[in-house]
Amino acid sequence: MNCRYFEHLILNRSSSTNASLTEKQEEALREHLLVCPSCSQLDNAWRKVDVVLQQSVKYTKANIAPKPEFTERWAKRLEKERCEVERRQLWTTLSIFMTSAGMVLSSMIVWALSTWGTPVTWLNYVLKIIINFRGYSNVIGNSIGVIGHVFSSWEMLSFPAVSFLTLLFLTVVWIYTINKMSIIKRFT
Amino acid sequence: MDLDETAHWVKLARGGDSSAFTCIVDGCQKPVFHLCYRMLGNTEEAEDAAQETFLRAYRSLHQYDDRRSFMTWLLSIASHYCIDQLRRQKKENFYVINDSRVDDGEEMDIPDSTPGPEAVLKFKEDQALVRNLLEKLEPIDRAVIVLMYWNDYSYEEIAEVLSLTVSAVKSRLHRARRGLAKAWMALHQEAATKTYLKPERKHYELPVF
Repeated sequence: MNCRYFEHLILNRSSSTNASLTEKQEEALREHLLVCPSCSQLDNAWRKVDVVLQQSVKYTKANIAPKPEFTERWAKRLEKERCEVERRQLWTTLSIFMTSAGMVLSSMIVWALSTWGTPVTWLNYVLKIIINFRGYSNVIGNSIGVIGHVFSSWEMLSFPAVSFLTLLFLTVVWIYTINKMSIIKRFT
Repeated sequence: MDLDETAHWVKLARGGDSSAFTCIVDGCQKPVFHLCYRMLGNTEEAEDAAQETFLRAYRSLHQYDDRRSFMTWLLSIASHYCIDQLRRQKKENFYVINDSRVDDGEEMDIPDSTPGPEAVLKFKEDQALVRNLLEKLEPIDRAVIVLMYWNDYSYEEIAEVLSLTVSAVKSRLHRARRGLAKAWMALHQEAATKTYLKPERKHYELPVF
């Protein structure tokens, strides 16, 4: 049998686990320790370490404790963290609002400019709508006239597509926000 | 706090009663603090780690499986937090033996049953020695030793706390014990070398001259 086996026996002999060796193992170990100085050293060192650990366990259990008012300090820390979470929640909501609004606005501007060409032609187009608007006699007529005017060209058909995509984007953003808020709520 | 009492408070806390969780903190702070103290080696960091443990437990109380022991779950959070802290400190090369963060139990009350300065000195020496020995171990090996000795946990319980298999716990325990014994030998060898290398005074260097 090699030293590895005896090392295992030495280190398993601990008072903490009440692990004891069989009589045969004890005998074999005793004989090995007489002829092997390295195992003998290990045995000696481990016995001392085991004793020191046992003493330290007793001392720790008897003497070491958190400072008084540990629970009160914890409650204060929890309150502080709650405030921090609420602040973060507010900023998250605001930033999501601002980002989604900014993205929608910029996509609308890009769409408008790409559909109506330069800002000058765009202004002309708006003026045209306003002038034509005056020509219609009633509210329904006005609306139909304006919608008819807006969709008069082929490019204008992209308007419902952009609106639909914008709506879809906003829905996704809001589902994400509501989900995030419910997670935060669970903590607070 | 016994098991039934803990289960009762946990049930109330999970129902949204925050004062029930305060009772849990009151009852479980000592074992959590002991684990953190033995893992991190000083009272300030142990207090911080224990507080963080309870905060994490509070936050993830809805994830707690009530078929498990609550204390085991709590100690699992504490030991994982301490292991992360030790790894971070090691990474930052911040953990230096005998640095200013380490205390030798100066703030601790020495029991009345151990009177006299010799007993106090012995207590401090033992604490410093245990701390030095534990510092030589890897964080998970240290956690295995702490849970085995200070918490009287079985192999199965340690495996549950540290998310390891029972055979992994046994092998880590063996490695940790060997590490402690080797560290002990190295410390004593160092001390013996220092004594051996200490130059002897010549007779003409004695104070009388």
